[in-house]
Amino acid sequence: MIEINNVTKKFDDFTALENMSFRVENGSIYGLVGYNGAGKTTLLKTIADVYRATAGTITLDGKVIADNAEIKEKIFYVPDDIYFVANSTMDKMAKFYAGFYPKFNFETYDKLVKLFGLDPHKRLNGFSKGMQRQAEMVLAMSTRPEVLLLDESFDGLDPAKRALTRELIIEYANETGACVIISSHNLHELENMCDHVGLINGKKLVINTSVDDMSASVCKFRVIFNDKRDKEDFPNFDIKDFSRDGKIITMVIAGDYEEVEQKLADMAPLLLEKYPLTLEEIFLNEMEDKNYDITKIF
Amino acid sequence: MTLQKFSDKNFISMFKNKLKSAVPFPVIGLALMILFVVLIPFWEIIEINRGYGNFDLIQLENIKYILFGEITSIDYVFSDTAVFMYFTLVIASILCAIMVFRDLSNKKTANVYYSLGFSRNKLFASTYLSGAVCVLSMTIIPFVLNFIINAFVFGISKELFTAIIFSVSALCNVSLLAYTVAAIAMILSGMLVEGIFFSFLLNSVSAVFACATSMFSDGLLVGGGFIDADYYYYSTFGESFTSAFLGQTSFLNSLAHSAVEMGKYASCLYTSFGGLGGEYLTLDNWTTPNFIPILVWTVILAGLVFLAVYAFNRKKPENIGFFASNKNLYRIFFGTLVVVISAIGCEGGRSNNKGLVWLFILIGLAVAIIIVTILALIFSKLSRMKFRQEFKMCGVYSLVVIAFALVFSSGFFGYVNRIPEVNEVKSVSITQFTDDFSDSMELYIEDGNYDYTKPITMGHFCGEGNYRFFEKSEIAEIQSLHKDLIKADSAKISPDYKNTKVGSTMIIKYELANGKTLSRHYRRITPQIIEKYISCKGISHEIKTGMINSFADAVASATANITNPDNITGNYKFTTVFSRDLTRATNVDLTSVQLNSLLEAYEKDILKLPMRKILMPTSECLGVIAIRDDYNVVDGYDDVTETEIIKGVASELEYSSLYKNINGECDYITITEDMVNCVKWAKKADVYKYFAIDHKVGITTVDVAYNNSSLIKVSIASESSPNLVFSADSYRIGDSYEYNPYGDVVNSSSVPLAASHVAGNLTAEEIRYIREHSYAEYLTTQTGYFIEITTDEEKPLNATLFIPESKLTPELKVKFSLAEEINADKNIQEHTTYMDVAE
Repeated sequence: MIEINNVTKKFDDFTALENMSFRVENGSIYGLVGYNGAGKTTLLKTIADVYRATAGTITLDGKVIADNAEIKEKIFYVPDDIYFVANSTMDKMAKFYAGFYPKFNFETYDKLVKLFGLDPHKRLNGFSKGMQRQAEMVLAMSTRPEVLLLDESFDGLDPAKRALTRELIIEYANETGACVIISSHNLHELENMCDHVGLINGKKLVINTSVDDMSASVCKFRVIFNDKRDKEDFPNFDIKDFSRDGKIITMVIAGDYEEVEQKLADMAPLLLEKYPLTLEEIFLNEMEDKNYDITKIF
Repeated sequence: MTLQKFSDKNFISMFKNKLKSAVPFPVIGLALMILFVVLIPFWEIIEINRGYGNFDLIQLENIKYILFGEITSIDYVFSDTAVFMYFTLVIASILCAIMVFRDLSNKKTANVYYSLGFSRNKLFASTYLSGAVCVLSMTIIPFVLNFIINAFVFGISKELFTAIIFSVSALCNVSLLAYTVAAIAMILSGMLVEGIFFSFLLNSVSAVFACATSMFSDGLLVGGGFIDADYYYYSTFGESFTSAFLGQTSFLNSLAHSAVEMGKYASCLYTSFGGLGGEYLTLDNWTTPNFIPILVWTVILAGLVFLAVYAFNRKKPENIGFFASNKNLYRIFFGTLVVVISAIGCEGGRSNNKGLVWLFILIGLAVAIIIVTILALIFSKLSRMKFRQEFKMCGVYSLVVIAFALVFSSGFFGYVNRIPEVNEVKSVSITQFTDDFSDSMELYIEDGNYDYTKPITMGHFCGEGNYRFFEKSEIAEIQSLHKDLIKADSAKISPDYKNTKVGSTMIIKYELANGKTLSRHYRRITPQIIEKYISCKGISHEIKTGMINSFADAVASATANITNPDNITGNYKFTTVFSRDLTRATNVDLTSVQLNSLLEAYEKDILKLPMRKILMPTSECLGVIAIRDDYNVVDGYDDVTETEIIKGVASELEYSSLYKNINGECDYITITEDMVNCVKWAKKADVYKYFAIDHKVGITTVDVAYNNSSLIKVSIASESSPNLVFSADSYRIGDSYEYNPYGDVVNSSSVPLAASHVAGNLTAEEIRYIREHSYAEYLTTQTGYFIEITTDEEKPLNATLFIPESKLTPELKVKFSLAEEINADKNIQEHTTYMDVAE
């Protein structure tokens, strides 16, 4: 289990992360979402001990990660900006990582190379961006880390390889009990893969919940009453979003969706429909900037 | 246990990985080091064994060992090869640090390296050690090979073993220090390009500050530096303040220290037999090298390694990819820049006027602050550097420069003017007036504009060539002179300062009873100081002895030609008598008896006359007797035998050739009325008549140049005589030279005297008067005119004379002044006039 306790990271006067706390259980896949520049990469680098937290601690199985060689050997960080040793091949990189990760498994490596259909003898600088991503993913999982940190690791992958990678990550977490923390802007992908998500906004972790709980906690309803009603007519609801088109009202309401549905039904609507929210909708609702006025830009 | 094993594996992996990335430069370095330490020194031995080379085997057998350098040019063991060796070692070490630490200055690679299973300490240790191993291999392997070859060729000896250990330890320190300093620079930098720049900058900071120290001492240090005629002393650099400073503080710079100390042990001979070795190390003067500075530097190295560890632990990878993420590095850079530019200002403005020097320092400082401000502005845009903060730092840099300059300006708060008590002094040395007074005294007139166009040298201060005194009375005399020098140096400069000063440098060196040396350099040498200097009992004796010995050598050489003509191999000594106006030269055949009696007379006169009367005579010159070489005699007259040449050909030589060959070696004595014995000899030898002016030799031009300098010297005539002190072409109105600090001529201009005449005719009587009242060769403190006269011969002769202003008739005074004014109007050259001669 990896645990982030009150972590703050400052760059001189600028605070990138503030008092952030969450934990990722073994075998769990944790999705990190947030705006560009919200601090996702900073958080991942801090967990990987590339950056040092200004305050707070990060522990793996109760042991502090910072400057702890023994623990760091169990963590693999796949950065957004991938690095390979100059003019190296996958095989060379495998040997490189094998030198630093004692659990590096060449059997796993060979299987993954075949699975992805990569040429392990070809120079990596001749690989496409997507292939380099695949190569890095192969190398990362071959090290058999207990914590896998993935920063925008799906970027540049074709749909087939995305699906394969996603399945591999789920399988890896399930089989090895590893913690996986993945940052991505592809919320649909995260939704299908992660069991937990964290939303970083304004330097803070504003949502930290399981995907199931998140889906259950917010729901979209479409209702029609025989008269015109405004938002004020629903005082007992935690309305996150409200829109009306004639008599048709669409609302995003937080809370237990069964309970909310019952309360709405009690108001005798002509029509009551319930729609589960996607992670993307939840993200946009939380970030409260879905109503861009782009009509005046051009 | 298992974890420990894994950690070790990690360490080794990183070590190997870094080793691979560092390899290219150490390999090149190693190849070059093998060239310098193995191939070059032993190439000659191979050549000799093959039957070539400049050394025979007997000489080779004198060699105990050779560490580095070329044996055929053993004189250069300490220069060329050694310099390249040090250069290679330092540069390769710096590049090695850049290669191994570069991954930690790159955003992309840092993500990987910092996230690997390493603690910071271990990451540093594996990285640092990989480079250190490369650097050490590059340093040690060549010497191991050298040791094997030395042992094979010359045999193992205690000396070889000690010298190898000493050299290897010293060089390991040098290379590791360069490597570690570069590593620190790389760790502190946020960008690779920045790291490369600071790797070299930090490694050169001590040398840069030494250079700045030299510049400040040149410009400001009374009693310690050089200003005027110092250019000549760069050849004797060992006597300058900077050299003394570096010598005293060489332990602060491991490279400087190693270069000096290792040079002594570069090779060793059994004896200096066979022309090899000479002053170099032989078994006779072998001493065990001093390892203490090396140990001190090893401790400093350890300190630097700890500093590197500290910096590495505190390094923020988030700053990678940003310029100027470390303000302190830039502050070192900016501070160095400010000090150096101010020092250049000091060097550029150096003059006898301290106010002017300070003005130039302040100008340099202002320029430096502007540059630093612009750089700070640029970097504050590129990084998180705060411009205001850095701008404020300019105040600190300025204070450092001003404090630095004040320390020099105050002569280390008066310390430089310390004169030790007589009882403290074991001996005192002082600048020699000239090493060969009779014919090679290099006196140049000072240019009044202080631009060093004509530096005057009092002579050479070359090692043991100075005057050295042990007697208490003689020491006291020098101390009195020392006091006058300090007074002159600190005196306020008057507007006519240029008229009261001889541009020269005087060095006084006390060897103290406690074994220390106190060396002081002075630059304001007034005529009064010159008079006092030559009047010192010890110095007077030394100068007179020098003059007599010099002429005695010439006489001995001429006598040898006469008594043993078969030994003449390429030149012949002629005795030539010059008329008092130098327009007539008569070659005379003297016997060895006559020459020796001339020497005797000269010796008597010189010993009898006070020094002041010899160097600054009050009576006019009667004529000049020169003993000179004529290289053309034998070469140019193949059809006559040597004996014939000696017996009579000299008198048959073309008249002009006599003058041409004055350019060669020439020893001469100037006869004045005070020299009664010489006058008596001249009359007896029947050469006195040749002193008379031959008015049949016509004069076509008379060029005059006003001189108000305090101390001048006029030379004897020649057609074109740059080797003699003054000709018409070489006093200040003629050629003008600008020297750089290394004594090279960087700019020269020439005013052709004889070609530029202005109006103002002279009558035949006036020309006669000038010829009769001009001095041929003197040192004088009188003001007057240089006269260059040109004869009307087929091959015209130029003679340079001097006529004191007091000797001029009112008419001549008017004409000379008029000519000077006309000339001044034409703005040809200040103080320069030309006059046509009436037909």
